[in-house]
Amino acid sequence: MIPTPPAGTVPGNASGGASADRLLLDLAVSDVRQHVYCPRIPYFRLGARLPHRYVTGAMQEGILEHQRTEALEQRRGLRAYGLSDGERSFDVRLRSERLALGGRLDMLISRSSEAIPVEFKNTRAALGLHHKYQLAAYALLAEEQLARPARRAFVYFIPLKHAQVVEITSAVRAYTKRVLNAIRASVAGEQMPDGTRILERCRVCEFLPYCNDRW
Amino acid sequence: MYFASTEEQRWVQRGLLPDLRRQPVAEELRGWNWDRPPLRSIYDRPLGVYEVAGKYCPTGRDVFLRRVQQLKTVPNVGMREGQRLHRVVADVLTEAKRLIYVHGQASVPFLEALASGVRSRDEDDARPTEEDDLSATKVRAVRAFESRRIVERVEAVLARQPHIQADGLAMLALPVSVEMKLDGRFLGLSEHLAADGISFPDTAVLDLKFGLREPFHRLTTTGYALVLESLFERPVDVGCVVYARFMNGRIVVERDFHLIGDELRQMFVEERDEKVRLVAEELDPGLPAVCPRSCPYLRTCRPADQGRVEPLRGPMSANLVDAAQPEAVAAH
Repeated sequence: MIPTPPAGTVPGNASGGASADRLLLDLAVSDVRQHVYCPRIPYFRLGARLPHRYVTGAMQEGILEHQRTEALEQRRGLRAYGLSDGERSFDVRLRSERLALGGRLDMLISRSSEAIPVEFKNTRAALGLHHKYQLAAYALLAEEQLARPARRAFVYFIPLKHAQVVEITSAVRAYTKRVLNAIRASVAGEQMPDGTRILERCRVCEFLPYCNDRW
Repeated sequence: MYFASTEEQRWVQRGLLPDLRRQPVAEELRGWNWDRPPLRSIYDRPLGVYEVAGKYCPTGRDVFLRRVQQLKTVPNVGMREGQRLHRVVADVLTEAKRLIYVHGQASVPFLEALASGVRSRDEDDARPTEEDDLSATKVRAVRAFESRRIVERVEAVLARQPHIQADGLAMLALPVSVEMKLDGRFLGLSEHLAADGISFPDTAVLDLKFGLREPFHRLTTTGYALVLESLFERPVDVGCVVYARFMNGRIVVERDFHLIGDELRQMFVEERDEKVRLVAEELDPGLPAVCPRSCPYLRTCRPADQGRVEPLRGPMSANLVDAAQPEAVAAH
């Protein structure tokens, strides 16, 4: 069960823009993705304040691939997304004081009737739930920043040159907010959450030595 | 109670199901993947769906008291009433099917007599209590309502299909299986689960409530959908919580049709893991800030502290009926 954050101020890294009587711990969209992947990762970063993760060779390669894709995207049309019109912005900084949440989005497609967040992924693996809620968090931010609805988002799989839609339904929005609450509750309550049940993820996790209940 | 209106059917077919086709359920959250995480249970302490999905106690202490402390409670008024009404609905539907199989196309007069004729198992219980009069009135109202609906549906099928046989008539007119017993062991749940209803051929999970609407009620249909998927390896994507209430002597029915998508499935699994951990590790989760007045453990948890009890929001909730007829507990 995801705990409810206690009322009152959350000490530490509070959002300056939140209301004075309800300061929220500032979170990044990547925290949402990490929490769904393994709830302990954002706890280690925000609660236990463990050293920030280093950039591995694979991550560096991913960054370069993102940059190459971004350059190519500028020359491409929107056909991959099934769209006939829309204005693209790259590496967009999004922030919501209300949600105390921020992040950098790979690409944002602005249309007169909607905002469509797009994330590039350098993987052939199927869309994971952690990516789904990462996109949902971007959708919440884009919606607020552009003052227009975000009904859908896309993941663009770089190796496959294929875009997959993610519907931003009310249930998806609610679950994303639930994740934000859960991260804040675990930090505020100094309660290390249960780790992921998918233990193969632990083998390559930099935080494995801190868990002490994984093998 | 369980038969959707034309508008509701259209809502499911054109409102809900296209969403699902655009955004399929994550494979790891399908019940047939019960043998791997996240669906695989880490403890061998089976719980009922009502225990996992019931969040009347915000901390889950009711489950701790029942399973760890072995505390039995007396069902409250609302629970007893809900139990009776559930039985009436199930009994009327079962009796109607029996009449159709016995009399076939000639069953309509017999079905018309159902409203006054059939006696529910619960009505045979001679238990004169203070709430009996009111409860009996509601029982009669539910029985009459269900009977009329059944007659109407059977006549509609007969009008369209004059040569239909008994089995086809029962299937087309009453495509619901009530009190479906399911084995939930694959998902770390009880092997004697009982779903209020399963509708065919679309295999939607139905859950009947005679109390107030709560946001977590959809977890019940989600739990049964996961169990059905684990047993039959076919997708179950739609659930419906049926809310029945009494207003000015009439029955008002609201049906909450919903997709059983990734979010509900994840929430159910999170709840299951948390509650089964409380039981297996014998962890007392403590008291919530405010207790629901209808909780049968209220006197155990708060013998004197009535200040932290939620005020009544309406009639005593009958939603806790499931706790009065718990799915069987496997021996530990």
